[in-house]
Amino acid sequence: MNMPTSSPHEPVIAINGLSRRFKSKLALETVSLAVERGQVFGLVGANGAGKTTLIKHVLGLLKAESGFVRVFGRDPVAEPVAVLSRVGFLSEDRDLPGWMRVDELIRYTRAFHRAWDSAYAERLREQFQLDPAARIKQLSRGELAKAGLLVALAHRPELLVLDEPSSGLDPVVRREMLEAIVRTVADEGRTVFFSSHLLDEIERVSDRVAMMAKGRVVLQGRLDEILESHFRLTLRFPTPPPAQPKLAGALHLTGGGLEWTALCNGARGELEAAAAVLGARIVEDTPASLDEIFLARMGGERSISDQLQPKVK
Amino acid sequence: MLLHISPKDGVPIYRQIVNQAKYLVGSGRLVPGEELPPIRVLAEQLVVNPNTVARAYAELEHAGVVTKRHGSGTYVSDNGSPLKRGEKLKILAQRADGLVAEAQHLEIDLSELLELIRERHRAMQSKE
Amino acid sequence: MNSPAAALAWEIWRKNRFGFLLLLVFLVVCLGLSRLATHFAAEASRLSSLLPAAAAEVIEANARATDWSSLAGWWSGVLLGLSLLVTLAVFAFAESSRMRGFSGIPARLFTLPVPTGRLVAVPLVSGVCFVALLYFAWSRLVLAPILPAELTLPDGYFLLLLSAALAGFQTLVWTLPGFPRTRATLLTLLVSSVAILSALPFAELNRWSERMPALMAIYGVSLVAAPFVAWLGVAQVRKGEWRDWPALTALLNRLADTVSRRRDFAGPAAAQFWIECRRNGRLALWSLAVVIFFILGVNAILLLDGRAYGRASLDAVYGPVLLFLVFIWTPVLGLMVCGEAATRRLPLMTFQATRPVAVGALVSAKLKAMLVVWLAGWLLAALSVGLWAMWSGQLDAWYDQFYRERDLVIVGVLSLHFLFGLFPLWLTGRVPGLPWSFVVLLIVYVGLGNVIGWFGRHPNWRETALLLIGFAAALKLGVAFLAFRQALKQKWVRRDFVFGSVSIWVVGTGFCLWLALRFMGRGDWDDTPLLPLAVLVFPLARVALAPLAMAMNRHR
Repeated sequence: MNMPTSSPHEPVIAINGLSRRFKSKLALETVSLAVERGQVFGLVGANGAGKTTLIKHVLGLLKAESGFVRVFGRDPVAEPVAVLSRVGFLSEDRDLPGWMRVDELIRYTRAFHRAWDSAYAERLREQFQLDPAARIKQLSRGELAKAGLLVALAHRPELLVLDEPSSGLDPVVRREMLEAIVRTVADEGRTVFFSSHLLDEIERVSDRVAMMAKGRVVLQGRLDEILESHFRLTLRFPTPPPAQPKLAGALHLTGGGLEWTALCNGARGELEAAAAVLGARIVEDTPASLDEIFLARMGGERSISDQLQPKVK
Repeated sequence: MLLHISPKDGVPIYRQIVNQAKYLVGSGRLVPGEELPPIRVLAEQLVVNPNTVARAYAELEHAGVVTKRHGSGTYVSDNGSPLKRGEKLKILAQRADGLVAEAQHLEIDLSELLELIRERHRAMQSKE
Repeated sequence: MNSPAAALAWEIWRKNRFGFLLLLVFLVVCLGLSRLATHFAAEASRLSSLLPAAAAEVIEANARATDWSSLAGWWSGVLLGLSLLVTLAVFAFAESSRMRGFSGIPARLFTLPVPTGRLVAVPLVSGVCFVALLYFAWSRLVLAPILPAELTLPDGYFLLLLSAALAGFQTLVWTLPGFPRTRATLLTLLVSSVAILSALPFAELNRWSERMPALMAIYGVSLVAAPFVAWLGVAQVRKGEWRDWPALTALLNRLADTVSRRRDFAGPAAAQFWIECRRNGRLALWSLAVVIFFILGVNAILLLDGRAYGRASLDAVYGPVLLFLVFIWTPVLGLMVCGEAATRRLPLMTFQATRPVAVGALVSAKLKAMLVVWLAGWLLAALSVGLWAMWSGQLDAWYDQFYRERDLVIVGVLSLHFLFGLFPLWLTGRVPGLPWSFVVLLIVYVGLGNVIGWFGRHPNWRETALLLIGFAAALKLGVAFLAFRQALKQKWVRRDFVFGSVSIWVVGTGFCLWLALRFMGRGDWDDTPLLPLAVLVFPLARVALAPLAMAMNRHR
């Protein structure tokens, strides 16, 4: 199997204008993103935002209806062998054959990858404390996720795709999984593309983040830039404003009475000017955490969709 | 080296690492010449992206707190910070602004604040 | 809904709307066929009373009457059997999950404030009532008109048998969710026994008039006992006891482990072949072994009972075994290979779909596993019947059957046709799995059988028949060519897949042609269609379409 390696400057995953409809529901709407080599790319979104659909497109399990998807420069639908042999995947529902034993699973998966590292697989198995004679249907949720991660990691894939790796796991197992992911990243040139709705783990390990809501990417960029550009301003009004005050540059406004907190997305000057116009004083100015940014953005989406839909009496 | 990272803090993770490392050096828990954990190891330990740790280390190096020796790792600097006195004071001025503003807000007057600073300094000295 | 009982009954209805609709459709279709059959039979008898027997109209009317009654008979038999199976499945109330297979009563119902008795009683009572209704509808509306006048259906016998069968089925499903293998075995035995017991009234056994009441008493007792057993069992399951039998499970696991894979695989093809065999092979061969053992057991009892029937005793074993092997086991095997044995689902698991192999490799592994297990099944059947022959002292008769009769080889080749069934359709993963797909297959094949039978009875339509066969052969080859070309173009398969399939087809078809040539001239009926038919038997188009279907499954 002689596969030409892609150039080092080409994005590992390139998605452009991808849309997908399931019957009447629009699951993805012109999604574009790029994942560079060696990056950890976090995909954030509520349940049903389209993360799994997007990941299935990356693996070639769904065909692109419009737009295109390229992994290592190739179409995963047209060239599944070339793409999938360099990818390690952990699915959201961890669907491994229940009747198999753990060691059979390892042996079976090994047959498909020349680059399988048996010693590494054995080390992982010991670390994850998986009994080789255990049947997969007897494994607990955490052990099942670890088994899936083991077979995804053991052939040292160039790209690791994880769909909600920590969902349903207790904190101990979650930490183990994240440690394994961090270790993968520390190896040179390995790329990780994972989706999660747990924002603290996204914040810990991602380089780049994309936020999805209702099938669209609402925010995308380097994590540190996003964190630096969003901040929380608490404004103190001299008199309680009659309704929710409209402030330019504010993504999301909560509060009541005299004090209102706005989440700002970089247009600091505008916000300060608008606040000054209304006579408010800035009393607190703190950086925003990722979940606050996310909630503010999601809240924004919801209010936009409210505006688009006529209110039914 | 024991660090505690909290993503929900609002402070970027690399900055938390930088601040805590500086505190450890300042309070003597990291002595000059002591080796910091390699980037990989610290990243695994804290479960954060190695690039974040790398950025923190780069900033610490730029601030003169640590030095990178070729191939053998990162070590706490022997001499104190090589920054010029003016730069050092500028860094501290930022911190002082915050402290003074907070004190005003809490209606603590200047003499009480100075007494507090002296007391904390004494406490840190006694720990060494 | 005012009461839990009504809610449960509603749930049974709502979950299985499609099943009930299917039952209604079956009934209506057979009713129509039955009416038509009686109409034409009446017309034929009217004409034969008016005109002399040799008149053309009389002959034609008789032929038509025979056609329609054979059609009605076939379809009624098949669809009645299917209706009963569907009823069993519907009222068994079980749900399936991807990893843990089929449950008993869904566990979510246990957390409702409903006493166990009611949970058990509602599906049981409604099921028994429904089965009685079904029986009366079919026996009065469909079967009575078309059965010969001297044959009467013993209502009491069948009512008791079917009700007891349903109650027993439900009891087994509900009380053994933690023992899937045992449960599957016992359910297979139950359905097989019911099939045999329902044939008994027509089998002319000695002392039947004494035996029937005794059997009916047994059915009655089972019918009364089943609710209690079910109640006890479900109460245990609900409390969390009786989940499994750790000692037994450990023992079975250890047995299974002795044949677990210890060596590494030579490559992806070997690994994929292993998983396909392991996934379905064990279950398929085990169920075959259970049924064969059961048939042998029943025959042993009959033999010891004193009914000495010489050569016929081998037929009594050989016949049912062959029937089961060819008409039930083979198509179900073909269907199972296409999907996941545990959950009967056809869409590919993502774990399988993300294997870094081409579509063709997935298909080849399935084909190889299918053929290996199918051959193993034949071997098992041959050995079992051989052992029986040895035990009952009829070894030379067995030798005759297997080595000298042509029929067996023809049946073998035909069963290969059944094995592939609707292979490409199932591989797409976009049609429902068991049991609905099996229904479709049965309908297709019985329909084909009817068509062939019709042409057989009407030799004046020979030219049309030949034309149709020629057209079908051309269609087959054309489809195969186009499908292979597309699969090669899309790089789903490699050239050796195409060459392999085509060569196997050429050899197989050559063999069928040779068989047909040997068979021609032996019978007293028109056998010119045999040669072109031989071209149609060996599967090629379906093999060619398989990679396209699998690609549809993998990339949606």
